[in-house]
Amino acid sequence: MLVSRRYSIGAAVTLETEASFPELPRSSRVPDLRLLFRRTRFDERPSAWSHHWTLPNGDLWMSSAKLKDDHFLHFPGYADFLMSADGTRVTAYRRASVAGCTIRHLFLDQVVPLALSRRGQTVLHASAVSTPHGALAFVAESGSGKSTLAAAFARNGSPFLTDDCLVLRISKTGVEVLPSYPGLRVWPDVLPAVTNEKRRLPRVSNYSSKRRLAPGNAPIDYSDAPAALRRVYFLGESSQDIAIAPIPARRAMIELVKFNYLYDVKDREALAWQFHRLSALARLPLFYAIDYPRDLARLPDVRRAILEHAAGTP
Amino acid sequence: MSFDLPFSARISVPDGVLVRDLDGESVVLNLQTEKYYGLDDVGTRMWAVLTTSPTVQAAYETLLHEYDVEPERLREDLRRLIGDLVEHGLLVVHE
Repeated sequence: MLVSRRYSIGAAVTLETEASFPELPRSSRVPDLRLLFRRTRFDERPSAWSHHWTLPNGDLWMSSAKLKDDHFLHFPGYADFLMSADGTRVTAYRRASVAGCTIRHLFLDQVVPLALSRRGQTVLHASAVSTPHGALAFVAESGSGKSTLAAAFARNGSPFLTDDCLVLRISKTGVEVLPSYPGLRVWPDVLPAVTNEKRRLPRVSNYSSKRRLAPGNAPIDYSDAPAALRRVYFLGESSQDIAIAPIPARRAMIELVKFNYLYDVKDREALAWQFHRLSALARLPLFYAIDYPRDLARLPDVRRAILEHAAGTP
Repeated sequence: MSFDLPFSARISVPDGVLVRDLDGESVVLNLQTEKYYGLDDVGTRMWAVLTTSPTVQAAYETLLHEYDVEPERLREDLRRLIGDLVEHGLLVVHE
């Protein structure tokens, strides 16, 4: 008989599962998300898909659909996930040939953000670090440098809060960042800039050469304490110089929508709720665009420039 | 898009369209198409006047009073804006 284990996925989620998750710290909190594994294919197919996500090369990456009240997430060639209507229970259907790290990555970095969205949380595709001035978030497309920036901060005294799943708690008194799990995913060519660690770092998945950095295998700091949000930086193109400029609320809103996780874009109620929350967020004086050189040798300069900027008045 | 718009028509916002003013500019969401649109400060003012005036002609006269613009240029700008917004399902024209 398998034994259930409890893990912390940061401040927002406590996971209960029979599987082993070496990426996560154990937890004694009451679980609010349960994950079951099935070593079979999920044969039922939806009559209509809600949405398809494609990779930059045009390949299909993920499709989603409603199946009765549940949400079906299909990763072609890898796995299927069935998420309950309330976002508290997920069943993973994995192919036998797919590595465990790949399934865990898909669950942690794709399914969990959508489950949090289903629960009504505001979740952005962004990394974040904790500094003496407050939390700083870096928002960008995949491969644009947000994990590299977070790693650069995390090995220089500013613990990271999340690699890619930025959960925001918005209240009348302000906006807080809820930390995610203690792992960063970086490309191999970035590793020398952020760690001297010689040991072989674990792969994120069997379809990517990205490696997992964690406080246990690299000299980086992580914080599991919620932190007040100080600045949100939208990462622009690579440039010769470092330039930071505020962006107007309308543009901030459009960018927030672009990088917001929404479990079902066809759900009118969820779409309206997202519009309401993100427009309230966009009005706050938090949002900036930053252009900087994508040169690993300049990372210390970029980090210093951001810290100086964050220390300034809004 | 500029289309043949009778200025005696009335403009309204259909169900399923949400708009938020953001520091004088605005963002509009069509819940049916799940698409977002941004309006700059002038577009935002035109939207506000068009959707609260009894006719396009009344909105035109209000805006002509507010902006230093040639009458024909304003007419054309209104036709173009309304045409774009109607095409995207964000406004409805009642003739």
